[in-house]
Amino acid sequence: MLLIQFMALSYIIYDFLERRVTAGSLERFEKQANRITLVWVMVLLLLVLRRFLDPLQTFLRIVAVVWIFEVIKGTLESRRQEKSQVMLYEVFSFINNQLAAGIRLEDVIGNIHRVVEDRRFKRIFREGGEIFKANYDLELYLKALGRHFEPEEFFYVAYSLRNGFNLGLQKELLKYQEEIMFNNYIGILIKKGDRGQIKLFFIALVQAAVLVVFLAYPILVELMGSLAYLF
Amino acid sequence: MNREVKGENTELLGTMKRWAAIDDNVVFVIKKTYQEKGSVRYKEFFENFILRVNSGIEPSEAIAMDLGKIRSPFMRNVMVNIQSVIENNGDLMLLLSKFEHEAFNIEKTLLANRIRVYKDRSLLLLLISFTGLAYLRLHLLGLHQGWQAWLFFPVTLLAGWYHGQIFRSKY
Repeated sequence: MLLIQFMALSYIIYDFLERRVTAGSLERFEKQANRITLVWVMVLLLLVLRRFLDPLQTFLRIVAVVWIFEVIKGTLESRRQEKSQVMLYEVFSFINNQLAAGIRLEDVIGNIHRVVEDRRFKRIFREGGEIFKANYDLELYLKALGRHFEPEEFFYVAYSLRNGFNLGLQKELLKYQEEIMFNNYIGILIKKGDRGQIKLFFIALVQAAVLVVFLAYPILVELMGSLAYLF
Repeated sequence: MNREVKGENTELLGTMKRWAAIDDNVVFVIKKTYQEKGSVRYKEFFENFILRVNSGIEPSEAIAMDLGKIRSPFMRNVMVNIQSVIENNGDLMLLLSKFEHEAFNIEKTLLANRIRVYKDRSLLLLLISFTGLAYLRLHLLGLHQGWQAWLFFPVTLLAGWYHGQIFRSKY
């Protein structure tokens, strides 16, 4: 009886949450829940296997694995963000320049995929363009595309497309947005250069260490030989 | 990242714009630009374009065929834009002047933030060559062992690969 009551109560709470909570916060909740589940599974595993494991070693191993995982995840995420920002800038500048050259937006949207180099996004833009050509619904097109980007990143492209489609060319507004996106783009270029410098330094360091080892090895061998000869 | 930009793209686009102001025809613009500056950059692209157009291929298709010849992603973008303008009867001069402005902005920023990378590159090349010599010296002295190969080849390959990557990357 208690179990049934508990299940009914939890169903009511679940239903209430589903109606009240927005999609964004639900996503965040899901992320947290996933993390909590992971930690809980780890604790259970540790409890079950505690007789066969050295606690300190196991803890350190888990920390190391999680740390490496987080580092790789962060790097991949930042790289993806950079890539998509550069790509969106290219798309944005393509739309702007084509509008400035006096081309209709309907023709521009069909050609966006040509500027994109990433294969996956090229396909996405091409398919979106085909959908747009079939029914001329800009909102549908933007909705289909926006799913693959983060909303903050995609905002400017969507905004410029809406402006171009509904109001015609609006030079000053687009110019302001272009400046913002251009600054992002150039920032990424400079950041890449700086990162290259740092990587170059470390690689040179490793190479120098190898050189030192190779130069020192014969000397060490001779030293050991002479020591053996002496004593 | 290649920071040794000398405003070449801006210059090229400026030349193209000047010819576009005379005649709004892509073939004319590219022929004249090639006569003026063809030997400097994107030589192959310009030559191939003129050859293909003379042999009867549509200009937009001729551009699409040789896009891979252009290494700089920015200039590839410009060419795609020109292609789209040809197909849809746009204004070539306006497009080129916009791109000239954009290229000028990019190159100006990169020049302002330039770091002298030639020094670092030459240092890395010297280090690679000296390490190779030291490795050979171990062979000559008869002191070569397995672990030295495991140390030498991965590190040198990594350094060489990275060196190439720095050379190849452009804006």
